[in-house]
Formats: sequence, structure tokens, C-alpha cells
Amino acid sequence: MQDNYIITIGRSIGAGGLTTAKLLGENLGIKVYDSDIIFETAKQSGLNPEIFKKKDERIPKHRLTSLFGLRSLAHGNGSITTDSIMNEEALFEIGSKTIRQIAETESCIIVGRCADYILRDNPRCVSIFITATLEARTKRLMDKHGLTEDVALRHIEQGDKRRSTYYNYYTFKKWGDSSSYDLCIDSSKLGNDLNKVVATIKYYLQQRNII
Amino acid sequence: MAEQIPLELGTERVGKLLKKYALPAIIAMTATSLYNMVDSIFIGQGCGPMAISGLALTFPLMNLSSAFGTLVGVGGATLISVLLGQKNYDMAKKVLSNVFLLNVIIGVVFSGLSLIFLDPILRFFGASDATIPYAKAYMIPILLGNIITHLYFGLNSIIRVSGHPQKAMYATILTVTLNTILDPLFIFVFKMGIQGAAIATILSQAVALVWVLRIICDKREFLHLDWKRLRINWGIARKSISIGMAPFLMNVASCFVVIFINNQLKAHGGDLAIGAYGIINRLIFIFVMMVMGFNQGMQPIAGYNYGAKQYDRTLAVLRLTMLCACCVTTLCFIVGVFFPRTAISLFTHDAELTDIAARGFTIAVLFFPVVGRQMVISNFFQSLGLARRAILLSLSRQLLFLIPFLAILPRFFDTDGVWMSMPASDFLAIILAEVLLANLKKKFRKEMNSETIVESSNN
Repeated sequence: MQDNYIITIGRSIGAGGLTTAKLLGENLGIKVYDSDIIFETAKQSGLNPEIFKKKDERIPKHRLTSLFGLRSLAHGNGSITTDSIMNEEALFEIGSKTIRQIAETESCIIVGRCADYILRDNPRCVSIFITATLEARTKRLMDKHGLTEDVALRHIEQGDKRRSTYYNYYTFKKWGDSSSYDLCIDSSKLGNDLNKVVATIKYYLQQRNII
Repeated sequence: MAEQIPLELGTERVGKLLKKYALPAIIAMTATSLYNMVDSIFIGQGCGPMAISGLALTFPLMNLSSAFGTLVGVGGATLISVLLGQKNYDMAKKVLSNVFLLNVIIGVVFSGLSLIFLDPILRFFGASDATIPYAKAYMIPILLGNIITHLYFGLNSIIRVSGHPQKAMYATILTVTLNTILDPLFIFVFKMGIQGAAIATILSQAVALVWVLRIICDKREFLHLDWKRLRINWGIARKSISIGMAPFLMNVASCFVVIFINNQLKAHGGDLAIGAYGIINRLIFIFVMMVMGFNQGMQPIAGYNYGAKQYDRTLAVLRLTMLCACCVTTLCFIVGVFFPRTAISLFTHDAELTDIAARGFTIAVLFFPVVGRQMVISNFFQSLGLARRAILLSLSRQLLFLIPFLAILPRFFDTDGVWMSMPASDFLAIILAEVLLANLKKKFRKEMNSETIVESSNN
């Protein structure tokens, strides 16, 4: 029996994606998984959460600091790949399994972590991307965390870059590209009112006969 | 498929786990090292001491070629294993066709450039008028068949990660066996000399490649090569090359170390010294590869238990692996110090070459009873994901400490100086490894203590 559903939410930094997810979760009475997906994953694999936390939504280090990522060493003519079990790809695989397992057992909202890609073959999965104009995002970060404009802008730039590199690396798609999502919403066009965003999503879910 | 992490890693007895994970790796490693030895043995026995030197001169060029193979191969295999884990077969097929074409391109370009500049390259590698004919005779067939070699290694590693590790192993065994049969046939029966050994190598890879291609083109598999849709996707190419860049640079660095060694040997000891190094290299290689097998077995166990914060188990598997590794390297030490001539007689009966090689072998392995620890520790850091320290340790023994000794010691001790630089570098590398390990252990202890305090205050 499959009457549970999953909503995945991708979000650019400062667009209010996480808050929307929490409001929507409250409204629908379902659980929201954000970084706490890590703890689920850790529980199931027997590993310590810290290991996952360090590598959460990050791509393998070897792409950033090329020389320090040694994956294989040459010995004579044959080269042997020696790889750590703690590598990012393996951890991503464990994470995906946890996400698929959660998707089978309960209705929930999963924020980020390539969940839309991992669950792309699940007909009861709705993928949403929430963005906003750069101005609105900067303002949200400044209000929420008391940052100066410069710091907020830098935060946005770095955060978006990190998320898109992570997403593009594992999914072979483009982060935030409309073809990857069922529904894309610009929260600033709804007056930055996240309750309106929630209402929009709910309307969409009804039209799709999900709820 | 991307690795599944078996939970037994955190609970099963460490000794039993190490046996289970290390044994297949040790077998695979031994097969690889035998593969490298076969050519040397037959060439040494069939073509004489100068041919051994000629062959030894080609090692760096062969390494460089395989470095280019890893540049596209490692990344391709990694990406495919990630994609198969997500059942994204369409994209995996695209990566596969990329791997195929990139291997062809790299094979052709590498061969073309190397063939055009073969003479200056070999001279730069330390060839003399006496040795260059042998090096060329061996290298020309190898370079002409370079595409076969690249495709065979590249596609076989894809087969390994796509759920058929056994078939990949059979392909390896097939090439080793064929090469062992064809080598004497071409050298002794057809009297083709060192050139025959090269042709035998390429032929046996060609046969294995046919088999590998049959597996990889099998349309019943989710992942197969589609001839009609072969094309390069530069986005994927960039991705896989950026993954392969680190191992590529490591391989290139190790190439240049060998070139430096050969040149120093040529300057201070002449052509035969280079051949002697070729023999010593091959002999030590077997033992080092066995240690690498133990290392591969240790990796998942140490990595998992570190991730689960079970430091006592993490250190237990390290201790056990270090013990095993030191047994292996001590065996190498015993052979090198007490029976060097017996081992060298596998390759040559030439009195002068045997003398040089025996002396070199004995000096080179002086610190081997403890060098096993260094190799394991550097791998241990890698399995824990502490890449910076791992790379420092692995470069220290083979590059950072070795190069200065290689530059200085031969000035005072001639050929002996070249050999001496190896144990000297081993010695410093061991100290560095032990210091880093002691530091890590201290950190473990601190963390364990602070956790017990937290636990007891909670109670």
C-alpha cells in the first residue's frame, strides 16, 4: 500500500526554503527532514553522525584540493585504486538509501540533499524549488541573522555555489534548473510571505491529487 | 554498485575481518606484480644483461602511460559506480562511452608523441648507445599497441565497479597466463628477442580486451556500450578528469623519481646499474604489493570503526596489519640480505650484473623489517579520510626525503650512494610516520577520556 507522499524542497540561500518547509510540515502534519537526515543515516549505518556532518552537502574534497585527495597510487605498471570507505561517494550512497527508506515508510518533507533526484522514480514524490530575487534573499539573511549586506551577499554566493556543486556532481543535472522540478516558486513575487508560498504548494498538491 | 557498508565491520572479530578483506586483495596484488615480473624474467634469461637495462629504462615511460590511463579511468569508474547506485543507467552509459573515447584519444596521442620523440625521451630517461636499441625494440610494439592497453585497463576497471568484480579478475588472470605462455614462445622459439616480449604483452592484452568488450557490449546488461551513440560529453570528461587528477599527478611524480634514479645510476655506475635497479625494483615490488594487499583489507575496517568512533577497534586493526606487513617486509629483508643472489638468478646469470644487483638489493632493504609499519600507517591515515597526512607520508618515503639523498649521497659513495639513499629515506619516513601516529593516538585517548567523563557525569 502506497498512500504516503514525499515533498522535496530545493532552495537557494535566503529564499526561505527551510522555513517554508517547516510551515508546510506543520500545516500538513508531516515530519520535516533537514540536516537531521544525517542522524537517521548515522543510526542505520552504525557510524557516528559527525562523519556525515562534516561532509553534509559537500562534494568530494579531491576536486577542491586536487593533490590532497589521493585515490590511487601507482606501483609499477598497474595502478591500484585504494579508497577509503569514508569517501563522500559511499556516504552519499548510504544517505540515499536512508532517504529512500524514509520515503517508503512515511509522508514527509525533505529539504535539500539531492532528494528530488534520489526519489525521481517515485510517483508520489513532488519536487519543489524555492528561490527569490537576490535583493529579497539578502534582506532576509540580514533580518534573520543580523548580518551586514556584504556578509549576507558573500554568504549567498558561497552557499549557492556549494549547493549547486554538490547537486550537479551527484545528479549530473543543473541545480535550480526548472526542468528538474515539478514546481518552482519565487517567494519574493508572493510578497515574501511564506504562508502564501505554503498555500501555493498546497493548492498544487491538491491539483495533483496528492492530498 | 557503490559500496554498501556492512555492519559486521563494527562488531566482528578484527582478525577475522582482516583475513576476509585482505585475502582477495593480496591475491590480486600478487597477480599484478607477477604480471610485471614475467617480462623481466624472460627478457633477462633470453636476451642478456643489456636487455634488462634497456627494459628498466622503459619503466618510467610505461608508468607515464598508465598515469594517463588513470587520468580518465579512475574518474570514469567512480562516476559510474555513483550513477549505478542511483540506477541512473542512461547517464552511466554516457560516462562509459566517454571513458571509451577518451582512452582511445589518450592512447593515440600518447603513442604518437612518444614514437616521434622516442630517442630524446629515452636519452633523457638515462639510455646510452648500448642500451637504447633494446629500449626501442621493446617500446615500439608497446606504443603501437598502446590503445589496446588503455582500452583493456580502462574498460576492465568499469567491469569491476559495475557488479562483476570476478569477471574483471578473470580478465587479469587471463592476461597474466597468456603473457607467461607467449613470452617464452616469442623469445625462445621465434627468436624475436626483447621485441617478442613486447608483442606477447600486447597480444595477451588484445585477447583479454576482446573478452572484456564482449562483456561490456552485452545488451542484456543495464550498463553496456552502445556503438551508435559513442560521443564525448565534455562536461562528463571534465568531471572525470578532475577526479583522476590527483592519482595522475602522483604517478607522474613517481615517474620522475625513477628517471632521476636511473640517471644517477648511469652517471655513477653505468648501464648495468640501471638493469640492476630494474631487477631490485621488480623483486621488492612483490613484497610491497603484498603489503598493499593487507592495506586494502585494513581500509574498510579501520575506516568504518573510526567513523563509528570505536577507537580501540580502529587501533587494533592497525596493530594487526602492521604486524602482518612487517612479517612480509622482514621476509624481503631476509631475502635481500642473506639470499640476494638466489633471487637475482631468476633474472640473470651474468656475473657482473649479479654482483651489482646483489649489493644494491642488500643495501636497499636495510630498514625493511620496520618499513612495513610506515606503509601501513600512511594507508591508515588515508582510510580515516585524513588525506593531507596520508599524502605527506606517502610522498615522504618515495619523493620528499628520497630526492635530496639521491642528489647528495652518490657524490660521496658512487653507486652505493644511490642504493643508500633508499634506506636513508626509509628511516626518516618511518620516524615521521611514527610521530604522526603517536599524535593521532594521543587525540584518540583524549577524546575517549572526555567521553567517559561526560558519560559518568550524566549518570
